[in-house]
Amino acid sequence: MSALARRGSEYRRLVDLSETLLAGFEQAGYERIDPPMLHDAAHVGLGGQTLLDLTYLMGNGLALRSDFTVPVYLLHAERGRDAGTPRYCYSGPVFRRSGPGNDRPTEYLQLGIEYFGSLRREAADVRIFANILSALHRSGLTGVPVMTGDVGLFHAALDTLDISERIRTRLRGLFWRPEQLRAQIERMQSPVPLPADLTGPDIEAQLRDRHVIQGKRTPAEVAEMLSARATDTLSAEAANTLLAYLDIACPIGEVPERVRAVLGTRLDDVLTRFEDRLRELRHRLGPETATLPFRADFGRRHEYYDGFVFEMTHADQIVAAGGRYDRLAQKVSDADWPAIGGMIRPQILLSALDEVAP
Amino acid sequence: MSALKLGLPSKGRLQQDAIDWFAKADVTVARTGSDREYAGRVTGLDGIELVLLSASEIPRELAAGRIHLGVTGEDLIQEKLADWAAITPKVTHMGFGFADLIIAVPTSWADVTTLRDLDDAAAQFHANHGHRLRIATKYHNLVRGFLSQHGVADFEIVDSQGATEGTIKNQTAEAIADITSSGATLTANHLRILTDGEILKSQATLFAARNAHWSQANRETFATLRERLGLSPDLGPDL
Repeated sequence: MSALARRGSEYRRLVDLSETLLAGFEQAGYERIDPPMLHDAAHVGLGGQTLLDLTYLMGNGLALRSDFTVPVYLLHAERGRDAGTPRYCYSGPVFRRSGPGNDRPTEYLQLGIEYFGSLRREAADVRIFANILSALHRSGLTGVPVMTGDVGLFHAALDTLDISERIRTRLRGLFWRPEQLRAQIERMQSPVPLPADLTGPDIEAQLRDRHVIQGKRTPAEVAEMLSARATDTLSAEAANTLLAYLDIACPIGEVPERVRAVLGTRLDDVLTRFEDRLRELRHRLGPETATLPFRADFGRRHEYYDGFVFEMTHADQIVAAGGRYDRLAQKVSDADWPAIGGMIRPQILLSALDEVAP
Repeated sequence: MSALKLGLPSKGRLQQDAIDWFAKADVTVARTGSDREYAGRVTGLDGIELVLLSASEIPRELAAGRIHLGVTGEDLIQEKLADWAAITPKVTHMGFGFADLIIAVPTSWADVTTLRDLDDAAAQFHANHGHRLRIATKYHNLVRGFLSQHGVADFEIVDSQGATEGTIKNQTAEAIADITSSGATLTANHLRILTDGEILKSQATLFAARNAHWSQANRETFATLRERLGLSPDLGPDL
């Protein structure tokens, strides 16, 4: 099937599939909403560099939506705290800039669900995951490969390490770029000597003496970076622990055991919640869920995610995906609205269905 | 019979260099009317019609196939046409109009000499200032693609169509990506090129338009021109 079915029988099937999926979500208690296609460009960066690079900025302070997470949150926030059932479903096009080496369509459909609420987070994780998975099943796509991860577990693992806040913050921010993360872990283990012409106690003063100072980045920031690199290093022990954590790739049921093998009992609180999620999975979707693949370095490259993440693929194409983004609300409007969402790409789903049952 | 349309820059050094370059192939381009009139004609080879265009519009005209051949910089072609190699095959480099697209930072950034350093500085800047490190450029696509390919994040592109070196002083950007030939303007503005910050080495180039209508006569004219330029008369599989 072509990427966009806009007329004829393919379009009809796409409409029918989308309506069936939405009706299923509505029956499950999700309120159908219609988020705007244009939103405040100030929020685009929340998805991180990858999403920012893909987003069309309209040049008037508005951005054309490149996914639904932020627009749905904004619509939810508009209704205020007494918004009633904070569960939504939606469907519509998203727009993504293509570039050299990127032949993805610049416009395609996403259909998804979002849940805002702090009650029983692990149960909510599983509910969203199960709703997406069963929507795929009901449409006829079964046995779809799944990948799972947990960005919160990475943050917690970092928090157990005996490292400076500077290094912790830097490594946390690099999670989305696995290659750079590993390179930085390597690099941070050795001190970087100060440039030969900048020695002595007051680097900032020397910078001011020798250079014309311009722009918003201050000599104090430059000096801070130089001295931090010269003195603040990552111990080999912390580096190896972190690399061992990132290398974990196993069935999700074995994660607590594997993480304990790397980090001892330091993460027990977090792992107890992970085990709650495993129990919910078993309860809701059966014992075979313990074999779902998990990768410690898997995070879907959308930087608002900070907890459980998942992705379903068909022939290397993402057919559905989602994750928890508890801190997004805080960043956008200083509200405390833990949230998780998931989405399906109906066009990919339709072509997958054509392949499995021609 | 419609002539082969050759697009040349409508003014400046690039135009004069292009005219001199074609003269070596006994294709004489003469401006007609006053200096300010955008018209001219070609002698020495029949069947060529001159179209004078702003250098920055030549990529678009080539892509649309409204001209058959066009002279412009590789920087403009690659910035403006995502799939340029398929749309406007390169005929030949012309040996002038050299310009490098580079990334430069203030000389006072003693901690930033490479792209990896820039990535570190960008993360620090974003955390300290509440917005991403801004890179001023008119080459949005080339810069974004280059930085993404080299694993730099925490930046945003801000548009600058001229006097880009001044944006840092004016605090509308923290770093720049711009064309340089000698580097003198950068030095004068207290800026330094990153050691691995060269995005593209560009020069004036003759491009062909795959989407143009190539009549038999146009093809023959082009084959003759190619021969005179010392190129194989074979137009290749692209046209």
